[in-house]
Amino acid sequence: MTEPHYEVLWPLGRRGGLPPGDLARRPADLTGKKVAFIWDHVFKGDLMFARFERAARERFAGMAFVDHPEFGNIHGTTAEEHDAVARLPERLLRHEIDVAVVGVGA
Amino acid sequence: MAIERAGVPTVAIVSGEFEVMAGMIAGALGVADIPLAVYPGVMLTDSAATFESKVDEQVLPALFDGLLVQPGHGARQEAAEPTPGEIVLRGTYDEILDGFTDRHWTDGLPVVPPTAERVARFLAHTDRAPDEVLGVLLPANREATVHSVAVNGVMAGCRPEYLPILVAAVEAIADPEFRVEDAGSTPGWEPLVILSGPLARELEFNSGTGALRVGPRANTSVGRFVRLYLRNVAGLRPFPDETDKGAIGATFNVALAEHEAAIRDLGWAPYRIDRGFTEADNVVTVRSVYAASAPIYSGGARATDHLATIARLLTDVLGPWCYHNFIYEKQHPLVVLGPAIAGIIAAEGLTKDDVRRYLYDNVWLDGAWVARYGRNVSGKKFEWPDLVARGKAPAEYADAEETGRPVRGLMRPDWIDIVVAGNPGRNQSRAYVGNHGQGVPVSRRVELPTTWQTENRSEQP
Repeated sequence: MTEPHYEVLWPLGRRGGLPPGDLARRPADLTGKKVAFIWDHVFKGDLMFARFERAARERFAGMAFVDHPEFGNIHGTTAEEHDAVARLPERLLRHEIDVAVVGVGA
Repeated sequence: MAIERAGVPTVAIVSGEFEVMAGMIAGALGVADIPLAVYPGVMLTDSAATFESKVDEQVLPALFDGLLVQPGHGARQEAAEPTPGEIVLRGTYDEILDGFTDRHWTDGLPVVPPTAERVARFLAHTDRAPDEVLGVLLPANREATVHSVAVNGVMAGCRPEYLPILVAAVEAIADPEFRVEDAGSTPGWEPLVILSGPLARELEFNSGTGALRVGPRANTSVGRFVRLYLRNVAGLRPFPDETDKGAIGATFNVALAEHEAAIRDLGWAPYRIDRGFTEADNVVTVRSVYAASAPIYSGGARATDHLATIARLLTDVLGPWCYHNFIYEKQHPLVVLGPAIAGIIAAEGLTKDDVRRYLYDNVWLDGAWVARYGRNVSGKKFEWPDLVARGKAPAEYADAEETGRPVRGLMRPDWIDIVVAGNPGRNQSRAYVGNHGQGVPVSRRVELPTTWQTENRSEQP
């Protein structure tokens, strides 16, 4: 007896909602640049930010740093998280941020 | 991603174990080459000296590179994907199963081949358009449609008449409040579907003995469907995609059906009314669970005899995990109350709200243990004086770590789910814990098609 054959449909779904985009243009160096630290309040991110700031100041002149409390908690309560992410563009602009360090995924 | 789209170069710090996941999610969100600075190993168990050394030698160089070196094209060209309704495989059953397995479209178990004919039989049980988008599910950033619900429902072994329930479940999962994007977090929580309404009996869902055990087709296939859907459309897979990082994890929960007859006999409001719906509605609720209590065998002539035991075992299963009450400020435990136990409680004139209040008043944990454990979870700062100062904990908790004074384990009485189900001939209940703000209970009314007939049973698909 011939074994049945099947033609089956795709179980996934179309990508939706967020179109692909280019990454922001990197600066040539960090001299005089302002850095944002954006943190999810876990996994020693604050300690890593501090070590980065120290190393960056040694390497580049005139840097400024805006610490994580200015950007909210991106892994707090649901409301805090949504608010922090939604307001990121506005806060980045207000603080005139040039580059950002985000952490920590673990 | 939000920062890059705002035009600000960004580098993200991740631990080594999460590097693949970060790349997968970034790709799905259209920023595939976003730079990562990878911390190798487990930062929470490394000594201070090791931590500093790894940060200086590996994380910092990657941070500088990520901010100064232009990555590759962020919008990576993705290989063309099939379209909904397109035939993707042809072959014998074994060839189909192998093909699905190779593409990570199964859950490790054999699936029912989702042919166009089978899917059409499912779609005959809804008035909704197949291409209706129920939501976009993260982290894969894929549309959840009525059609894909049907396809995965076929695969899971559901009957076609379960489709309205499946659609309601996906609507719940797609609700931003549910936070499906966090369903792959390390606690390894698992969604639980709760069905309340007359449809449960009509479609032969089991709500008695073995209420949460595999076996009955309705409960089992609907539970399996949810996990399959999370894998295929939300994109949550532990390997090789690594978008599901449940450290140990759990397997799919069969759907829990409320014992309609028992609830009626008790004179209690059914769960769907607790959730804000009406007696006539059929309601699907999806919520997270990740831990079950020991079997709660309670005894005694009085309601409080039983409630005390339930409170004690709920306390035990919750444990210091209640630390998250003060961080994420959400907590929805579930008590599956055996019908006989519910009967004793109801016979004294107590309602479910009375049960909730009793549990709220009688679940307390050692404050010292909660603080120490809270710091272990993710290295997060957890100190009672700080929480008190920020208004996150009552003032009297300030010395809880020094004194070990009890801290309240439950947040709000009305956040305690109570569902009557299980063996009506035994004195057993069970308590379950959810994952704080991830997978909070979200409910949707089941929409039946206008052609639905009571005692609706289709032919064997």
